[in-house]
Amino acid sequence: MPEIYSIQWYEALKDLLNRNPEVEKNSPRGRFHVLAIINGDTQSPYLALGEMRGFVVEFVDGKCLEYAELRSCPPRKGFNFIFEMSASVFEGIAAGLIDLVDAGLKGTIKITGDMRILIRHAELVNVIYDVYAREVETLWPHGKPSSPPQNLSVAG
Amino acid sequence: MVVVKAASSSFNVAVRLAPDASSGLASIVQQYLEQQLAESADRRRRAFRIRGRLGLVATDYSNAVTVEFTGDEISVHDGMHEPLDARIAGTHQALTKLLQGEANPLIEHLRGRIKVTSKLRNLWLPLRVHRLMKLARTDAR
Repeated sequence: MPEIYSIQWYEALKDLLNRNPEVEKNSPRGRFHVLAIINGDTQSPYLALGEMRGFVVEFVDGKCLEYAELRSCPPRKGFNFIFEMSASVFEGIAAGLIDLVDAGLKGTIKITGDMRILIRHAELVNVIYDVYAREVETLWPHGKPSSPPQNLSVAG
Repeated sequence: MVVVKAASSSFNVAVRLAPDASSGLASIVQQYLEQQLAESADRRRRAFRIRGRLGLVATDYSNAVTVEFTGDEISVHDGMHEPLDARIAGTHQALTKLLQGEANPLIEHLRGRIKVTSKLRNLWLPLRVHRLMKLARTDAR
C-alpha cells in the first residue's frame, strides 16, 4: 500500500485510472494537461503552511499517460485545467471525507480551464472521485484524516 | 473581468464575477459564460438582448448563484440576488443535463425533475438563458 504523495501512490492512481473503463468512456478525446496545486496548511500533517506540491496529469484519448509530481510550479499557461486546493482538502478527498463536487461548487477547490469540457464530461468527476476516495489504497504514516478540515480555503 | 469583443459585431458583452462572489459555482458559471460568448457572435447578440436576474439553485448541494443580464454586462453573484425575475432549482445532475443540452427546462419542470419559476414580466427568461448557455454539439470535445 503506497504512502500518500509518494511516487508509488501516483503510479497506483495512474494504473487505476487506466484500468477503469468509465474513465476512458467519460473522458474527452484528445490530449489534456491538468495541473493540480496543493497548498500546505495548518491542519495537514503532510504539508506545512507555506509549502506547496504540484503534480501534472496528462490524458490522451481517455488514457492517463503521466501522473507525476513537479519539482517546481510551472507556468500555468499550457494547462487545460488547473485545480488548486489546500492540503487538508486534498487529503480529505483522498480519505473519502470530502465530496469532490461539493468542494468544487463551494470553491474550496479553485478550478480554472475550459468549463465547456468540464460540463460536457461532468460524469468523469464522479468517476475520478471514486478512484481517489475508494479504489486507491493509501498509507497514511502521519494518520488518516478522520473528519473534514475546518475553515477550508484554497490557499491553506 | 474579460471583455469579449467580436471583430465583426458591435455586441460586446463583459462577463464578470461580482466582487463578493467566492463560491466555486459562481466561478464556474462566469468562466463558462465567458467562454461560450467568446466563440459565438450569435450568442453575444442574444446575450446583449437579455435583461433580468436568473437564480440557479443546486438543491442537493445547497449552493446557488444569480446570473444578472444588463445588456453589455453579465454579472454572476453568489446566492439569490433579489429581486429575481426567474429561478431554476434542481439537483446538480439535473442542472448539468440542462447545460449539456440534454434536457429542456420546460419538460424537466413538467416531469418534476427541476422547478422553474418566473415573473410574468419576464416569463421566457429561463428559456432564453438556457438557449444561451446550453452546449451545442460542437462546443466541446
